[in-house]
Amino acid sequence: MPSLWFVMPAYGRLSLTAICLRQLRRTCDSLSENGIHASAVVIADDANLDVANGLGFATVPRDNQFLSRKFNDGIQLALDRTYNPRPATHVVPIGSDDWVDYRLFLDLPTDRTMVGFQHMSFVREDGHNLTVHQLRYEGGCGIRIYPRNIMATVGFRPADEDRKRGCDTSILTNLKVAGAIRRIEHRPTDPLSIVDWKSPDVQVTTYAEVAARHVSRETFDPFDVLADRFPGEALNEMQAHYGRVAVAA
Amino acid sequence: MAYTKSAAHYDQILIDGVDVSNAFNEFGRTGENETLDATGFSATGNAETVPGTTTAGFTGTVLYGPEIEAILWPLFEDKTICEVAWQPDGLVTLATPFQTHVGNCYLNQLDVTDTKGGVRNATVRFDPADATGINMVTST
Amino acid sequence: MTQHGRFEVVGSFRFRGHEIGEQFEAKVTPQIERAVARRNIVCLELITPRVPDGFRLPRGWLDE
Repeated sequence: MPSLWFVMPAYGRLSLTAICLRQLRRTCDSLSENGIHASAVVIADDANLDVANGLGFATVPRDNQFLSRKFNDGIQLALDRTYNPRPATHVVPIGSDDWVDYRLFLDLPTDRTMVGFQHMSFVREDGHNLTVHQLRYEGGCGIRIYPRNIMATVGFRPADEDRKRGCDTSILTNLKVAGAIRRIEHRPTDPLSIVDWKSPDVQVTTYAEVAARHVSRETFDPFDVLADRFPGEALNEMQAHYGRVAVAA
Repeated sequence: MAYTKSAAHYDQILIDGVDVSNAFNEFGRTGENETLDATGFSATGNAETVPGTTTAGFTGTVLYGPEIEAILWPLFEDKTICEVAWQPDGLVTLATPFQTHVGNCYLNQLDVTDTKGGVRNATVRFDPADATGINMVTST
Repeated sequence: MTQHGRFEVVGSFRFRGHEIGEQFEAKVTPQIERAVARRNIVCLELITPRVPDGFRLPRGWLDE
């Protein structure tokens, strides 16, 4: 039976991360109901680990000095028999502020094919605006599907150990240099299948930078357009997080 | 539509991994596609072209001193391949996604110039060392 | 497994985004070796990066 682990480094942002972790639990359960045994590993050194444990996810205690090292820890725990007697067949790096539609992962790649997604949505820091974007570069966003044998080529630790940012690029670059990837497949998807919930306490002018750099289409209210795609309880939680009054269905 | 405009203050430049940002006061990426003539018979008689080979690299002006010399001179003299990375606004908090221009390069020009009374500086040029060339990579 | 090391940034320049005095772990590559030779960084020890102790697998993962 194929299996998949999401690899999620987390740091602070306890309220937002908890909402995303609960939604990830639902995503994993939906995958398991559809024949793909799914779970996640959270790499952190704060209360995010408690939330992850409570949801039945794997955990790795690691400080936040180097983000790339946290990704490596999670990928290695997922795939390396030294630590996991039942390694997963695939891994998907994911951010602690991302939601993903489980249907993106029903068709898992084989051999040495990496799957990437070039369409996704970003929600503005105040929660009032969602914009869909096409990321016109190789690999698309950092949420990619890697088969286990690709990661085995680099000892299950694909990123440079000392990066604080740009980890998705580091992973892809190192895998290509090692000859681990035979093909990169960009799957056309509905951009509402991947949602990045921006936070005002982390980045500066992030949403505006995204809008300036990438092909953007018209904007929407996130809680209207996502209503048919993600569970109402998750949307209500997120709406409350942004301080917006939830509209009764 | 409003276009983003900014002054260049915060560029980050890494040469062989070393952050030499503060030693440079000018840096950039060059890029040009060769122009190939593809003119055929037509009612207008206008020339037509297709882009050919791409040449690219990095150029810059560095404020030259012993620490910079210790980094650059061996790269030049030994013809060593090194990674060069340039990230506009890289020295301040970055929004995501962000872009970096990066490539494995040879340092093929190192012109050191002294002007009486002026700051000693050098002109540098890096050229790609492999078929990967100079790429603009984006990270989320 | 490619050799890794724990390094510290010394001298006058930041190195690969690390501040002077900061320690980091990295694969030993020609770039790292040149940085050591220039004394941009010093090698504190050779290591093998690994998952830290205290990890947990998913609940019930080995039962199925």
